[in-house]
Amino acid sequence: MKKLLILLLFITPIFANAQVLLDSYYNGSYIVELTPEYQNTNLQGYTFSTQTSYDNATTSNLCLATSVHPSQQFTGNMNLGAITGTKFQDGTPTNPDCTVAGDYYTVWERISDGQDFYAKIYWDGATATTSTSTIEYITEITSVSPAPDSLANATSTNFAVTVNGSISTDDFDDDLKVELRFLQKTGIGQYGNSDYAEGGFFSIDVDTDGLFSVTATSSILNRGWYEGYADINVPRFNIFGFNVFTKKLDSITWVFEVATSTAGEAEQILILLATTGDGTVSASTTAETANFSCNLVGGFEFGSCVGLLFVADRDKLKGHLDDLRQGALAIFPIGYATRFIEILEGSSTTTVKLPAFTATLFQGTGQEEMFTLDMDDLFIGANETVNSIREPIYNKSFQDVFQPWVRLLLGILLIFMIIGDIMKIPDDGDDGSVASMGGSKMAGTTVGGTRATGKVTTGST
Amino acid sequence: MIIEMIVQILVVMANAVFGWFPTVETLPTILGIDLDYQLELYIGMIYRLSESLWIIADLIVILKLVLAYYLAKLVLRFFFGARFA
Repeated sequence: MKKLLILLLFITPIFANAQVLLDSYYNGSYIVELTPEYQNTNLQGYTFSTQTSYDNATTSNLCLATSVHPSQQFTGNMNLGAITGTKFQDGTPTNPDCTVAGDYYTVWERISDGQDFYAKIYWDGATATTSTSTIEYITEITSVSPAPDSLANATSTNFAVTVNGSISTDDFDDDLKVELRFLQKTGIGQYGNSDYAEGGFFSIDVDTDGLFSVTATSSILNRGWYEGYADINVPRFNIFGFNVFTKKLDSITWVFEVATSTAGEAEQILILLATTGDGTVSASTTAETANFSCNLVGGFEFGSCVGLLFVADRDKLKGHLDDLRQGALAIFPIGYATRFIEILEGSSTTTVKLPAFTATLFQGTGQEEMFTLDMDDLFIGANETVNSIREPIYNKSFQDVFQPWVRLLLGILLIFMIIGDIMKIPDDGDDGSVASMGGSKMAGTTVGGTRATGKVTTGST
Repeated sequence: MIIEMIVQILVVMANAVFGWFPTVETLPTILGIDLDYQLELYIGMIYRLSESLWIIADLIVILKLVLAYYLAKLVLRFFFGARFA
């Protein structure tokens, strides 16, 4: 009996891993491993088997319709119509099985981790089947919403960000979390600035392995570009109930735009109105009201009108300064300074990979060894490693914790430097010396033929 | 309106004064050294490095502020003399 229990203990997980039963073909992505003979760059024209088996499937309806990855060089439809047993076959774009309404369409791409090859199948079928499969999920983020470089669906007060993906059985942990963060870019445009305002940070538990979809709603609604970060993290080294380290299983970084910001615009406009003496006007009539405030016939308001006269319109001012930048500031001789600042700002400079050094080491036996130091890989990898360690309470990285303190320190140093410099500025020819503060005119005094500056000198004046 | 008009007049005047000169696209090559290319290359590397070492990015911001301060001081000194700045 004891031996039987031990045997069952070993058999059960093997069985569970080998027979992942998909209750039905829900929409989402699935991963199948490709056998070695089909690990070619161009899969068109091949018939390949996978670990997948579709028992009782109405396989004539299964289509792999479109290649996602351009490197696949695959333009035709992949059709499972002629599937027998566990074989896929490619079809033609005009294959009727893929054009009939109600068919099950999927999109596929081939991926590799460097050793094993997999086919990723996106199931887009509307109807569930009763098929079973040995297909297993891998841990990955498959899609985000809003998609990269696209527009977010915003309400009047917030916008939502969704992360879709899957968790493999092996990687699943009770404390596994999907962490989602989005920061608003405070600069202009999609790639404008590296300064950010916090948009939201969310740590969401994932309860089961398989497919997941998590959504977070922003706490702010400001129009502009955002940078989103999504990680699948699993805790490591739990000490006294605190997860000291986390391991990042997959991550994605992308940018998206929020363009419909009714509340944000209203807020900005009301601030503008407050400066012109009228903070009670509704946002929708702001522009008209501002102009009406100087209209003598109706709605004249002295305070608002004066404000309108002296407070420059931000957009128009920006237009004039743009004209200046494209005009005088871009022309000889100031153009050289502008170009230098442009390069220094990095606005026209594409980031260049750090150099890699290669050295040939000669061995005494006549053989040579190549030694390569790739600084780019070194620094990027080190950064990823450091940032993968997160503190347990707020789940922030090293950078998140220490950057505000470093910035505070640098800011204080800057302020001291400027104050110190201002204090040194001579006043009306004074040299800043103690003697000059006492009212005596030390400036212009010559001692031994040199002009005395910054020191109390003895001798006659 | 008034501030805007003053700025617009200044911009038009500045563009008219300098409009005779050629537009600067790149920095010149001096003694065979392409300053534009070299600066883009090495500053690009610094920005690449700052992606990993974030403190460099912060130092660059501080450097820009320091340069802006001294530039503003130079401008003030040019217009108002050493007594002011």
